[in-house]
This record gives sequence, C-alpha cells and structure tokens, in this order.
Amino acid sequence: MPLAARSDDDLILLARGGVDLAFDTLVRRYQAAVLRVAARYVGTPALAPDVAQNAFLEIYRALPRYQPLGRFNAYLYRVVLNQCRMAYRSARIEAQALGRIADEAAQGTGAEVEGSLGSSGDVDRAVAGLSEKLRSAIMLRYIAELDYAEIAETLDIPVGTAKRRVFDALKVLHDRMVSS
Amino acid sequence: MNGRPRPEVSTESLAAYLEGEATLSETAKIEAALAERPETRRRLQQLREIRQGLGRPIPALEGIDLVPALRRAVAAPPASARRSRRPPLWGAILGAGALAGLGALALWPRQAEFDAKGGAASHEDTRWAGLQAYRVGRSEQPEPLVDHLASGDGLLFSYTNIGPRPFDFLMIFGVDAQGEVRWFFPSYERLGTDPTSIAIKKGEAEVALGEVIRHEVPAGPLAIHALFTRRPLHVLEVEAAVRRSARDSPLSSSFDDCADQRVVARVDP
Repeated sequence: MPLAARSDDDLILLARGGVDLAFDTLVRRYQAAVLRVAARYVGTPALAPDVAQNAFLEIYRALPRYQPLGRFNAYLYRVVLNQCRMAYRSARIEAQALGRIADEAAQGTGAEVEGSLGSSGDVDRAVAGLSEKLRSAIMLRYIAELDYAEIAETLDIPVGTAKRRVFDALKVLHDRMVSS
Repeated sequence: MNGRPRPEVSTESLAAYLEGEATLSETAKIEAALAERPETRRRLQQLREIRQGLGRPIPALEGIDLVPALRRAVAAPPASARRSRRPPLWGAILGAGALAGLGALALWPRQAEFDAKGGAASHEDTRWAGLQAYRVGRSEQPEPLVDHLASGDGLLFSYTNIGPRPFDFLMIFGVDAQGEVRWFFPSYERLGTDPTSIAIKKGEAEVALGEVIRHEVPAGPLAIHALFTRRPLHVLEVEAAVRRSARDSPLSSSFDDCADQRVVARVDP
C-alpha cells in the first residue's frame, strides 16, 4: 500500500519504526491546513511557517509516546494551538515593546453592511479581536475542518460547548464586520 | 399567519442553522423568518460569506513545503551520542525509489554467512524468523549485504516474522572485530538509558526498517544479530550476554524462547 493511502496512525507507526518518508507524508498531508490555522490565529502569514514547523517538530519528538487510537487530528491541532498561543503572545509582547500596537482588531475594518463580507483582510482583522476560546474553536471548524466531536476532543470540552463556541464566534465576527 | 410580525431570529441561531445543528423547532422558525424577512436572509448570507472567508487560501502560504526545513531542524546529532550515530531522520539516504525497490532486493538469494539458532523456541518457530541486510554505499542505493561492506557504509534491514508462532520483539545489533556492540534497533544513543527491543509485526515478511544506520566500524568481521523474542529485552542485558558469550556465538542460550539470526560479514578498511 502506498504511504499516501495509509492512515495517520499507520504513518506514525512507520515513522517510529524508522520509515522517514512516512513522517514526510504525514507533514504534507496536513501542512496546508496547519499553515492557514497558524496564519489566521497569529494574525500574520509571516509567522505561520515557524509555528507550523515547531508544531510538527514537537510531534516528531513525541513519536515514541504517541498512542495510535485514531485521533491524530485532535492531537495535531492541540499541539498546533499551543504553538499558536505562544507565538501570538510573543508577537504581542514584541509589538507592544515597539509601541506599535494598533487596535485594529477591536475596531475592525469590515465591509459595507450591504456589501460582500468575508474578504481575507476583513476576516483576519475580525478574527484577531476574538477571544482565545472562540478563535480556537472557529479555526478548528472552518480551517482545519474538524467535526464537532474532534473540536471537543482537541479543546477538551463537551461537544455542546464546542458547538456553542463556534456559533458564538460566527455571531461576534458578523457583528464586528457589519457594524464597523 | 395571524398578521403579527415573527420574532427576530438571533444570529447564533442562524449560525446553528447554517451548520445544520439547529433543532427541528428552531429550523421551522428560522425558515419561516427567512421566507418573510429580507434582513434575516441577508444575515444568513453574510454568515456564509464569513465562513467562506475563513476557509479561503492565503496566497502568501501557497506552495510552502515544510519538509526540507523540518529535515534540517532534526538534523543535529544527539549531544551525547554514544556508540550508535544515526544520520538525520529525513536526511537518511533512503529515497522513495530505494524504499520501493526494497521488496525486490529482499529476494536476493545470497546473504553473508548466515546462521540461525533458536533457544527454547522450536526449530519450526525459528525457521520463519529472518533478517535481510543491505549495505548503502556511495551510490546511495541499497544492495544486499553479501559478504563484505566498507567501513563507512550504511546498513538497512528488513525482517520476516511469519509461521505458526511469530515473535513479538526484535533487536538488531552488530558485534565488531574488537567485541564492541553496535546497536541498530533499538537506537541506543544516550548514556544512562536502557532501551528495549522494538515491537514487530506478526505474520509479515520483509518488513522494511527504513532508517539507514551508519557506524564507524573497525575493519574485520562484523557479526550482525537479529534477536527475535517473546518479551522485550533491554540493551544492557543483551550486552552483558554478549560479553559472556564466545565471540560470534549465538545468544540463543542466554534467553528463553528466542531466535538469534546472524549475518556475518567482513568490514573492509
């Protein structure tokens, strides 16, 4: 069976057994989504490759401890969100030190009420103003494309709470984008 | 219709509806509102656009491949490398083509001097457990290890573990001309650790262990052991058994219910 057709857990076990190409395959399977989650979470594409690389590196180093229970998705994004949080805080501290924090996120620069919403710039500015909890939930739902059970497992919350956070996040984004 | 305006539908409810998560009663209420209220329809459309905007690709990130950078990041050798020195994980020589070709190479008819001994395991068990060894020279293409290898050559292995009572664990190590143990599987890279045998697949033949491993081995005979067992062994207990045994002799008498497959080759200077 070609590596690309193998399950995530199979690839992890093969990588653990020394099949280096298996981990490459796993990285390439998820890197596009991970990069987008990182960019939208941190608020700038420039930091996304470092965040994503650190996340995959952490997973690689933890290969011997991985439990193959068919939940790699949740595990991956737990690691990714942790890396995102660290990068986000560092970026904010650095920006504050440079005295150039603009409150763009809180103010938003959304589109016209009657016009089309959802251009990348509008969304990024609105997402930056979300709380960490809402931002994580909506990243997992619409960029990582996890289902609610996977979101719940990733964030270690009940499924109902996961749904509520996604709906709340959509409302906050909507309100910010149409009211600005 | 009783002529009274329907209550406003909240944006959270619309979001739930958009996600297919609204209850039946909510759905009925929302669809009625959508039929009657342009404002509700507009809000639903705006939520759709936000959702699409979130999932939209980011041009600056298109085409980025993290694998080369990750390979470099893991390339640093362990700080306290001991006997075994492995190449960077992804810097290993084995490419896709080489891996694909491994199955064919494993059918090579001749190996270096080959010896199979079983401890308490029956001959029936041991005959189904086997090791295939390959040398990886400058051409970076694996070749069956026939009778010699160069000092700097990498080694690549696959194992077979079939038959009525396949084994559970495997260790692969070499004993060089100076009696030094060179570990291949498990990796033994840090003092103060005592790794155990690797778990292996049962009922499968020619399972590739895809990591090319290089040791600086002195010239002379190199006895490569594949020690198949029912329980995981520790590196240190096996090294102790090697020291107790006569040079090049099988280890099967040291452990219960095991098979010690040996490949003996000569290392050229």
